[in-house]
Amino acid sequence: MASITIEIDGNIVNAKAGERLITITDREGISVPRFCYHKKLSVSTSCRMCLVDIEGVTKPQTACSTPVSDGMKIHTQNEKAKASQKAVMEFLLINHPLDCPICDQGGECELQDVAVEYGSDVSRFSEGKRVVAPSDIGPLIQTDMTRCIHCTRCVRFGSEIAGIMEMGGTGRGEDLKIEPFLAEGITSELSGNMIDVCPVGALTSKPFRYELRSWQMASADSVARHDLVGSNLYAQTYKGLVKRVVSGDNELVNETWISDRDRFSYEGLAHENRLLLPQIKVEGQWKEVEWNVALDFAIKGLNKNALNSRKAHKLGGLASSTATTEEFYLMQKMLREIGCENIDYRLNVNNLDDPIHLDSNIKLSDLECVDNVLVIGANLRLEQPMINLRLRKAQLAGASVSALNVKAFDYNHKTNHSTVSPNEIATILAGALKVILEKNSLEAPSYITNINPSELSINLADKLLDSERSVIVLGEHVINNTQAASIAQMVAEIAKQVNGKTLNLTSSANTLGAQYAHFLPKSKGMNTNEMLAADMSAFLLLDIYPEYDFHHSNSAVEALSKDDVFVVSLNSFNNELVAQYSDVLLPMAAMYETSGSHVNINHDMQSFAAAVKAPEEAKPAWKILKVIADLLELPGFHYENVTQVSEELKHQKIYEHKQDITIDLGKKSSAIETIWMHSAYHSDALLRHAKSLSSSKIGQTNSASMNTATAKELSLECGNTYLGVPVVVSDTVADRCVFVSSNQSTDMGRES
Amino acid sequence: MIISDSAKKQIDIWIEKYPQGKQSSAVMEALKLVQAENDNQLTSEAIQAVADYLDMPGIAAAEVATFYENYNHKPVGKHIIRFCHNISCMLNGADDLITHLETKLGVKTGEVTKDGLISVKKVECLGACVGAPMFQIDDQYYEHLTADKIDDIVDGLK
Amino acid sequence: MINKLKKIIKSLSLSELRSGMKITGKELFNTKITVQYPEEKTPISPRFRGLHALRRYPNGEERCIACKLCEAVCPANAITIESEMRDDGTRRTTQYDIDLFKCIFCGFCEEACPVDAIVETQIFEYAFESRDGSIMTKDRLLKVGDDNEESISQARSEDAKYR
Repeated sequence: MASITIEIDGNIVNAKAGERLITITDREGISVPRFCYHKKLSVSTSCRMCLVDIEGVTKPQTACSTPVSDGMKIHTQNEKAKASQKAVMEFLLINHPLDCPICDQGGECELQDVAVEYGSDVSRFSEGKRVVAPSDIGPLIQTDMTRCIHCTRCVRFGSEIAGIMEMGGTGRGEDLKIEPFLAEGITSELSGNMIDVCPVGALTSKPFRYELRSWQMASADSVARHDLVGSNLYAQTYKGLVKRVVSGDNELVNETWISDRDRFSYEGLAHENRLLLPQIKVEGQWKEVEWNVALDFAIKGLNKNALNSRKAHKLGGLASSTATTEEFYLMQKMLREIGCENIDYRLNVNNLDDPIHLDSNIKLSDLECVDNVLVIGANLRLEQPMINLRLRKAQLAGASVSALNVKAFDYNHKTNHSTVSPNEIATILAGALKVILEKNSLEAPSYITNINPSELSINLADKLLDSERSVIVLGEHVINNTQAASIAQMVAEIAKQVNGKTLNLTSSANTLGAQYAHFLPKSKGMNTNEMLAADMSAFLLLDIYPEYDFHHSNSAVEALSKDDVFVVSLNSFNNELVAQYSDVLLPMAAMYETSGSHVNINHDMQSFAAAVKAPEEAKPAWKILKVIADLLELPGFHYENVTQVSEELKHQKIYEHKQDITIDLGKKSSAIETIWMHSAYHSDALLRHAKSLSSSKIGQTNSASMNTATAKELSLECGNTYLGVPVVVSDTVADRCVFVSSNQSTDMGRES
Repeated sequence: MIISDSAKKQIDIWIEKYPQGKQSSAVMEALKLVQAENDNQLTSEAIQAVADYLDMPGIAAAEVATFYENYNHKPVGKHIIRFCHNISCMLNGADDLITHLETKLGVKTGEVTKDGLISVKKVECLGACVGAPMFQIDDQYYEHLTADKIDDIVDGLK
Repeated sequence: MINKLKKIIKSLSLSELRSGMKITGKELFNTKITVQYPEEKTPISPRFRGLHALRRYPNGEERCIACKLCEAVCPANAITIESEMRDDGTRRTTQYDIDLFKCIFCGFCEEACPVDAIVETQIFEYAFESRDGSIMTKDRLLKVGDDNEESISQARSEDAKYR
């Protein structure tokens, strides 16, 4: 675009021809009041608040919709502009109630701020004000639509960003109401952003309702740790408690949106089920003790069972993937110092002998620019909402999105769904790879010579070959596929052949942090499944809740519960099974209570400081680990703060587990395959304790979907349960497989 | 079945008139057809069915259905009197005439007479300002209304 | 020299004593302004800023809506409020404390209150006998309001025309 100069309030300003006036004033720091304009949403010009005076134009113009041209002279502060803005303000205030004292937006309300400057102190309107009956739109958002000024930001957010238009303006003129259509309310996984975009108190946070005024809280920068994105956010605290979470701005990570999961998970921190005091098990009885007693007990137990008798190889260290990078680092450093190589964070993987190896080599911001997407085994909208948001943008810009899933999931963008059973994925990819290799006139490796590419494979291959910037996304549903390693290998190969990128979303939270901290068994070390099967004598567990975290929860609990196994557990919540197998329970700080860092899919190590102190006796896990290391008299643990740990591991390279993978397409299971996913709001301990999220529609998900034939084979029908989960018969599911999405604990281990 | 096959056929004719992928432009006609088939009334289910048929969000169809006065969301009488109360009609005394009509029929605007014959609605401008005050009964406009004229017209409804 | 002479004559003639006694004599018969506190009391302005009270509406509902504007405006940080949603869905305080040791009786809380809930009464004779006596809790504040509603509303209405 041509560079031009315009004059704003007598100052010469450079701009590009056709730019919207308001983007220029925002960039130059000139304040123009607005309500409906939002930098990330389309321009609707419905509030009329941003009127400015342009020389040569008789009537004032809206800055948000006026493109600039060379030599334009604009006045934002002259009498004409001010008078028009004041007139609009008066008009907006006609129907706005004067209930600021009880409005949760009070103090951070755009209307309130602008009214101070532009509002009149006396109302000339003596007619009746508009009143809208209250309505319940779900457990996350509180509505008070009498306060609505019809800016339609929430409507535009829904249709443009969240991808599902849930709010809309019904009625006409004075009867116009912004509301969802059906009584179901708002169900989007990004709905909380409507609270942020609402300029008035019409949409406010329901869990936060009437608790505090905005000026009472301190705000701490933080990073969400529930997914691979690490959304930047602000934790707002009051008297040592996180009271609300709002989104932060970071174009490279989350733009300005955050998922509901990140926004409302803080509720779990105040759950009555928090583990607050160190406890030791003496003769089968739990006893609350002082920290030093508990630590001594732990050290004695570890020494007796594993270290004194030179049995370090009989000690195992397992951690949940929600730990911080520093916690992973300190724990593995300590264990390796002792001489123990049994270190693992992969708890929910059935087959760790052939694990998935796939690099993520595309940045979040580049995802918007891809022209072809192939998603394998993921319900991205719920599992990685922020990544889905980027892919949706790419789709809207013209990218073609194909998905290979066991079920036609409800993506919020146009997707070519192919429902395939988990067994077929490898063959389909092999077919596609064969087509691509043939097109590139390369010799096909032996494992695919016998493959006869199906129509689907050819179709996928053509799309990949036609595109310039393609990305292949490997999702969480593949993790326990019998051919998982081969699939990952072929994905990497295909991406290499078509010059595309790969995105590995097979495990979430801070798994990349674990890989940077080398929290994996090296050389002769045992992985999770080997540890649980071996004759171990001691375990150190970091924030593990077996019935949700382990793939084989039953056998894991059994292995940990053995009489001669000494188990030290660091947990942030109480749990019956943990209490059953542990010998020492050390209360650890949860999210927002500990400092550390999270590594996101961009491979950015994002540091965050604790926003609040952990409750009662709970301590940040990195401190607990450091003290345990000190008590074990290990060298090199003289850390005073967590940044020293971060500094130390900053130069660490990601751990690459070099392993030759022999692709074997014959390895198929003949049984009906079950893919078990926790509901999006039950994927980690903090989320499971967040009450409002659990009561939302996504949090209530509990279904085992299968098609009619599979149901018949299992002799099940709607109303029955499968592995304790209600059966839903739907023909959008592939043959001979069951897709479970549940808010219950895993029963898979108990079954097999 | 809220949308009958014959209605679907007619909706398809309307969809044809718009460029491909813009099938939601046919929403007004579709709503009209579906309303005609369902006791001259649009329930939320009917609106959702139309939205599903046109592959658009339910709320988007509801926005259209609630914006225009020719869609009914409550049971209506055999005849619908749509009384304009916008500026031209209002200046020519529409408000008084509406009150007159209401007292004559014994119902408020938005309600149906007990015998189910007539419902009265206050609507926005019908584009007949030249004949203000005016109302529309079913598809017929009646202009230059006076109280006597209203009495005659309404008495003649069967 | 002349000045010195004048001064001697003035002091010999006792003129200053006489003018002093004249005032004494006059005041002897004038009306007295001294009051016999505590039996007698001086009148108090309706704007007097004494002990705080929380008021109720005539139907018995407490006025305070927990907007916390008084807490925000208080220059001495003497007010502490905690709020929640009451069962009937209204916004109410669970705690409303004023520390009278911190309070400087500036009256800003009363100015800030959008519903005339927190007021400063004309009560100035009070004392605490215990350490926590200085903390006016919600119950105590409401009791002061209930006991003195008549004088509080009278003072507000007297002052209303100047607002």
